[in-house]
Amino acid sequence: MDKMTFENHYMKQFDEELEEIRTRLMEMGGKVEQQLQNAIRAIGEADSQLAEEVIKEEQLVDNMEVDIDEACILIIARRQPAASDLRLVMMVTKAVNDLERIGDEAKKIANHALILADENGSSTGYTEVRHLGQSVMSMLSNALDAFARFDVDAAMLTIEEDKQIDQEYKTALRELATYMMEDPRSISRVINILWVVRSLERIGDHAKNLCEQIVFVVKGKDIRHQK
Amino acid sequence: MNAINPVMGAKAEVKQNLEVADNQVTVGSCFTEAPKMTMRNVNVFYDDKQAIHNVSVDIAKNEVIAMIGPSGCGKSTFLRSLNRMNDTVESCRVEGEICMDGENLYAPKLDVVELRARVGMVFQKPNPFPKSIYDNVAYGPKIHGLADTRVDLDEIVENSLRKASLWEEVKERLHQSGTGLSGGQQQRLCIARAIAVSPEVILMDEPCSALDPIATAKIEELIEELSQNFTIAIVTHSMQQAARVSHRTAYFHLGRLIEVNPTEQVFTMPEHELTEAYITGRFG
Repeated sequence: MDKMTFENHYMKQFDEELEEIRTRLMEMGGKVEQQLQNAIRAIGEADSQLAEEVIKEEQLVDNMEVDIDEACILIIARRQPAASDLRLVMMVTKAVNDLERIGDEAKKIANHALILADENGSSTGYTEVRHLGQSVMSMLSNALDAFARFDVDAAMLTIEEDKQIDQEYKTALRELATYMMEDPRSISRVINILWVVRSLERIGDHAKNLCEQIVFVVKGKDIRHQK
Repeated sequence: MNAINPVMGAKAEVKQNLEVADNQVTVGSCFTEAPKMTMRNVNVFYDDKQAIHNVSVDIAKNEVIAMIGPSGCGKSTFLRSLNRMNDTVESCRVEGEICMDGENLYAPKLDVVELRARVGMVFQKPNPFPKSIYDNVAYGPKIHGLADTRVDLDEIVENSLRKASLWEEVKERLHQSGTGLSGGQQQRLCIARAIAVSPEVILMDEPCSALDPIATAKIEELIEELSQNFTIAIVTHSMQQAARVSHRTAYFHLGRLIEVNPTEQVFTMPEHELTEAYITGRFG
């Protein structure tokens, strides 16, 4: 398999700087992927400790965002990148933003996991969270894979997954509404679940943004907001 | 695996194949509507050595076109053939068609002196005449008979210096020597001298490479203003400069014109892999 490397610049240091922001973005992607996984597990297993961990680690992701952004600004200032180099640097500054937001959403899910675990109530709505959670996890992981390989075809396929997620989100909302109508005492609990599925749906949107940016880096085409 | 890998792909190919094919076709938008200058199938030779291969391109009226490329790619040679500066090089031979407003510049009857007034030139190193600032600018209009009276001449000198953004700095010392000015001022004086004869096209051969950043910024700002009235072709080693001042950018490589495209496209998503490799600093 071809691996995209940022070599062959006359300035070797430039190669290294580009490779480094790319590697650090991958690290950050791995981190938020793990956060999301833990946050979803924390709900299903009512694991407060795991939820606490996710909340604590959000700071780490924030720091990564700031560091990578700074590295990108330095590259622009020092190297005045052009063409594909420029597109990569711009993509990375946008992608860290999306990853950071995914981290935020994971933290929100973890917060709700804490509330749900404390109440120690029924597991109503957990199936919806698990379903949607699996789809979103898979989409995020595909998006990060596509970035690692700069694979436009994979990115385009992953963008399609977002439609599926939106559909599943709507279905989950309908089901959660039914639970609330059936048993009004469950309302406050189900509202927590509702926020969780909302966060999952948002993560799908951020993963889609990532994929659009991959297409931009490789093809130089901006495919955002196209129907 | 169908992972698309354009950048690496391009680089890998470039590494193996810096040569270009004999039938290399220029990609992008070479031709314009209502061109000021049209070049068709231009070949330039120094004795037996071919420096420019089959270049066809238009320069639009009031356009700034930048020519970039690695050293020895032929961009200066090409620029100099646009006002027959190459005539002064004995071994140099130009084939093909170079026209301005439809008129063949290499027609035997064409008056070369008049041509160089219509197509002015600014060089890398400022080269004012060892005369006063006033005389530097007045020289061209005088020999071309563009001014009947002293008052007319004064007006041309003032206007040219104003257009070259130099008037305010030199109006008190017009009769001091032009060589006493700073490098940036000398270069603007040379631009004033070039525009004093009301050229239609101005050729600039690395006009800022001997200047500091502030003087460079002044010249670049001037280029933008001059493009209101003149058509400008500029050869530059600074890719950032090409990106800043030009409307279209032409990339030359080993005597071939590889790509001509709107500047904003060339610096964000060039069409040809050689252009990409050059502007990202992978060779050159």
